[in-house]
Amino acid sequence: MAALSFLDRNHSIAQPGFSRWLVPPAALSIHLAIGQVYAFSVFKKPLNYLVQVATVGGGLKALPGVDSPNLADWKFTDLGWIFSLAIVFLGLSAAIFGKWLEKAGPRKAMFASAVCFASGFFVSAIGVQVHQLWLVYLGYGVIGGIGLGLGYISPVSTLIKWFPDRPGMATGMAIMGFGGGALIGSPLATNLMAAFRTDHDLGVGKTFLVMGAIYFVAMMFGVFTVRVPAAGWKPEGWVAPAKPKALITSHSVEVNAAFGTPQFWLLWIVLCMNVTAGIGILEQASPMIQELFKGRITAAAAGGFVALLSLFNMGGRFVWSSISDYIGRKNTYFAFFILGGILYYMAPHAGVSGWNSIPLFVCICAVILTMYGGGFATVPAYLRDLFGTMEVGAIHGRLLTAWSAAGVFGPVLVNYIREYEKNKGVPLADAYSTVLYVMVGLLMVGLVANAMVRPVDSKYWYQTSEDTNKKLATA
Amino acid sequence: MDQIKKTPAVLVLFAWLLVGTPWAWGVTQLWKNAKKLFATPPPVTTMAPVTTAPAAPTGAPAPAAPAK
Repeated sequence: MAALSFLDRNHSIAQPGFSRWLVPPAALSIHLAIGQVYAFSVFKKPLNYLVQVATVGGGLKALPGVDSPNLADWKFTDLGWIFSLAIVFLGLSAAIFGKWLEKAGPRKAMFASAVCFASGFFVSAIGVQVHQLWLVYLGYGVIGGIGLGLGYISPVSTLIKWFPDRPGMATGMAIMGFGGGALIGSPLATNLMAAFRTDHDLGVGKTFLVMGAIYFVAMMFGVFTVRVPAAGWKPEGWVAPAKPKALITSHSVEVNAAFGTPQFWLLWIVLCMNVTAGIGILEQASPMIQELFKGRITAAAAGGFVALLSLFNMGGRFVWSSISDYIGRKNTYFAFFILGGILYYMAPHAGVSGWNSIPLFVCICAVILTMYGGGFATVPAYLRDLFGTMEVGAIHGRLLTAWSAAGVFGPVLVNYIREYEKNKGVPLADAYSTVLYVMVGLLMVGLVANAMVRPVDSKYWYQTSEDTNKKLATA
Repeated sequence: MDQIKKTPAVLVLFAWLLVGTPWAWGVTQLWKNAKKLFATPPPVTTMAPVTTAPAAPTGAPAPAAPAK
């Protein structure tokens, strides 16, 4: 297709004089769009009342409880699968298409991501219109989820190549956008639904259509702006350190070879433990603060607490990944696991049975959430240090399966422990302590895995024909 | 020889504004919500003894006890 040839990698190579500072906004336009997935919950209640409102009317007033009284309506539990499917397909597509992305280039991958993500909304809009849940699963969950995975990893290796002097900061910026996507997606969806709402229609279908169109256009900005650096390009005045640090390789490892290294699996554990522990706080933030400070925190204030945490989750992505450029990735993760462990242990003691301090509890949770976000944002640079830049996007894609696993493991663990403690007759506030202590244990597993990370053995390095010739000459 | 054409700074600024503006809007919306955490919790409503205070009109909330 000649019309789409501008998407080819060859056509996106930057001309001399191109400013690398145009690449982070291109990456951000993708991540801010796909980060909308975290705001999907704003659609759950309206989706739960489509038939009720269409038949009885009453618009917003018809949304009193959790489950709609109309039996034809979709159930809350069934609607939960839309988000879960999207996250599962994010992980799967990132793992599967990562290698293709390295060959096709970021522009083509971003375009594919935009097409999938927008189509996901459009198919879901049809699903809402004809009231077929499987179409919403297919649309937002499967097609949209593939768009999420492609979009998430598409700018990573490009940013790392443009910013060899600050890889942590560069990828942190993009991944911060993913955390910030919900900040735009949530009020945007709420305002659009309010604009389209009538007495017999909650406006969800129309909102899906408009959001799909808006996000497609926004992502096209990234598609047209992104460039890959020409071979051998370096930032002006930057010289690669003559003696690189022990954990920073000047070689590259191919994605399939990386998959077989112990380092890949150690980092998989590191990411999985960090994310699982973070989810432990995120999952129960609202009920936890209300239980720990009973009578002093209203439901609205708890909502404000969750919102505050998402700000710290987002900010931590940029701050920690930038810090990692100075102190190193391994030390950054040591900080997550050691400081995180101490803070998780302290959190329940800040409640009424301990120091009884709301500000202290809020501060502890805020710092923990910066480290949760920081873990996501620092890992691409950690991978680049260990495996080189050649296929870092593809390797990152496979590592994201750790996120998918944590997404399932984290909430299950938290809910199981809480239920178990509750059934034993333990007061709810104390049940939270047990959950947080288990999280400390998980962080210690991550700490050990991080400590075991060593430079990748030379047998895994990618062999160019030049390398092979050198080897043959010295043999 | 072709002259190197540098990206104009204004173009870089425009690109950042394009992504920064919706983001800043989102942060403002979120901050409005987050501020609720710092709002003074409503005082606990207790059954106030009948005093000389005038009766509240139908549907209006009962007068709240003073915060301790």
